[in-house]
Amino acid sequence: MSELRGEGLGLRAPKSERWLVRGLDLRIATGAVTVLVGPNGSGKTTLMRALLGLTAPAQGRVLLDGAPLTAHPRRHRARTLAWLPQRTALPWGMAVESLVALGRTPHLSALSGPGDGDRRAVESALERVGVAHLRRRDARTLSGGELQRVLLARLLATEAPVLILDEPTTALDVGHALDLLELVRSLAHESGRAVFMSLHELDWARRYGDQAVLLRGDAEGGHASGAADTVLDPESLAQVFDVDVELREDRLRFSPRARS
Amino acid sequence: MKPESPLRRLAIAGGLALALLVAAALAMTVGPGEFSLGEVLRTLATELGGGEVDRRAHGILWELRLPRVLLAVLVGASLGAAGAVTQGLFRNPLASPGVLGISTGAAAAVVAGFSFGLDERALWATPVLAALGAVAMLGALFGLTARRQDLAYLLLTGVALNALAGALSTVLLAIFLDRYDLAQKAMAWMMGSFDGRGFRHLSWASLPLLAGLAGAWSLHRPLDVLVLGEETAATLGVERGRLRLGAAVVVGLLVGTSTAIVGVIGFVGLIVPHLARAAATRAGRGLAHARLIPLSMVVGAALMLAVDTLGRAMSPTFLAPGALTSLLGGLFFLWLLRRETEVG
Repeated sequence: MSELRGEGLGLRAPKSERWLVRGLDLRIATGAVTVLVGPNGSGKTTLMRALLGLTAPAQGRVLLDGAPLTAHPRRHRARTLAWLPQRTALPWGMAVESLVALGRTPHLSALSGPGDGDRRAVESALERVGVAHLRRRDARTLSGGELQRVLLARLLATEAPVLILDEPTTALDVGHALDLLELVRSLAHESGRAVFMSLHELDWARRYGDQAVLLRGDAEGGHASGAADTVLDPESLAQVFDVDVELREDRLRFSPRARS
Repeated sequence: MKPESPLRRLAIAGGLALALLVAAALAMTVGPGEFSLGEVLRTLATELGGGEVDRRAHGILWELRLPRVLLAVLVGASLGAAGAVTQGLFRNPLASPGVLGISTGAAAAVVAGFSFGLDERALWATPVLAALGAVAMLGALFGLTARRQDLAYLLLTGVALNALAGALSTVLLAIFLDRYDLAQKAMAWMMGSFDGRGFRHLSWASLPLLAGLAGAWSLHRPLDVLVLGEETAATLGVERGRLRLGAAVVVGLLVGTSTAIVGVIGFVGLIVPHLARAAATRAGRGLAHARLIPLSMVVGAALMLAVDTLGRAMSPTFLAPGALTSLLGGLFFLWLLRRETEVG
């Protein structure tokens, strides 16, 4: 099991002096889904990029198993942290199983090709996400929902204990989105992965998140974190997103804020 | 992943190499002198065995045609491989050393070398300058496309760099226009031809080209991962800086050395990997770079051999292979552009 933590993280918007986040401590818990919520431009993707080591935080540090992320060898980081970005544009055709097999890259040695263990990992990733029947398809002919599942299978093929997902449901219709979230939850609860996932749908964030991090998107880089139903309470959400929110029958309901 | 037996892979590779050898031998029969395929093979076998052949066959087949055909194969393979690497690196099926100005940059550096007489001081000056020119252009592309990487922006940057490097060559030639020998040498070289290229060229070009070809293949895995995007590739352990450095060395060796030998041969790097990729996609499978790169070498070699042989068959009418590939490649590029922008 691997533990990813942020200590006193301060992040700035690219090429700007404005703070997105300041003084954020977080821990991506193993066996749980931590959701990341905040308005557009509040720094969700920037925070994920910092946790992955793609960008250095302006303040604070990212720790993997107690040691600074950058102190770990590149290959070890690649085996431990897996990322699903918001959008993936494929420049040319590629068979689905070859795409999923790219997830094995950090496990391959420079000279030898994939072995039986690699093939098994790809196979079980295809099965787990339910895309085994698509294996021979050209990934560019897939629907948005299918492609997102295939890309998630790519993460599973890496067998990384920490999964970082950037708005994985954005391109999906409600049915496919909920299927994907169920799958993500089972990856955390049943397979013991640590999942950190940003979501725009606040109600889903509340339902599928065990822990939550809320970025306020204010000038001070404010934030809150803790148990999902505490952090994502109607009062905070109303304030952060500038809407009217009520909680009825354990569901969040939103309406435009009444203007005077 | 379908496990493919190494034997089958070896058989395919061997078959392709054999086909290329047969094509090269056939190409050697073309041209003045009326040699049959049998005579060609006999002459080569005798020469390799250290025996005596008659002077006419020795002169034409061994001294003139063999090195020329070998160079065409080597240069074609190099440009094909460089195209596959460039497309993979920029994640763009329309990118190639010719389209992005890398070849023109190599040419401008060579013309500059001519202007200052560097090529007469050292044999290696021309290939080294060409490689530096190619790498400089690649560096400029990395810098200029750091912020935006979409298709249109990359191609427009290529257009601008192509124009700049072309203008540099023209300015140098204009300055030295009164030196007739220089202007003639530069023009003859820029036309892009295998005329008069022999063992002398082969001797200095084969090592960097073979090193470049091996280097190109060694990049196959990171280039595969790059289809997921640069940042996702980074999370899989592919370091951008290292990959770019490796690609710059490979493209510098391949495009630089090729350009130094035969001048600018446009569009081979664009057409060849695309043909290979299109064939694979039609067969319903993507093509990993581990196969795309060697396949591009074979197809590139075959294309260059065909173009050069056609040129010799039409002799004494001079048909510059560079002009022919540009003619074909230009049309192909227009078709490709139309198709890519329809999809995208």
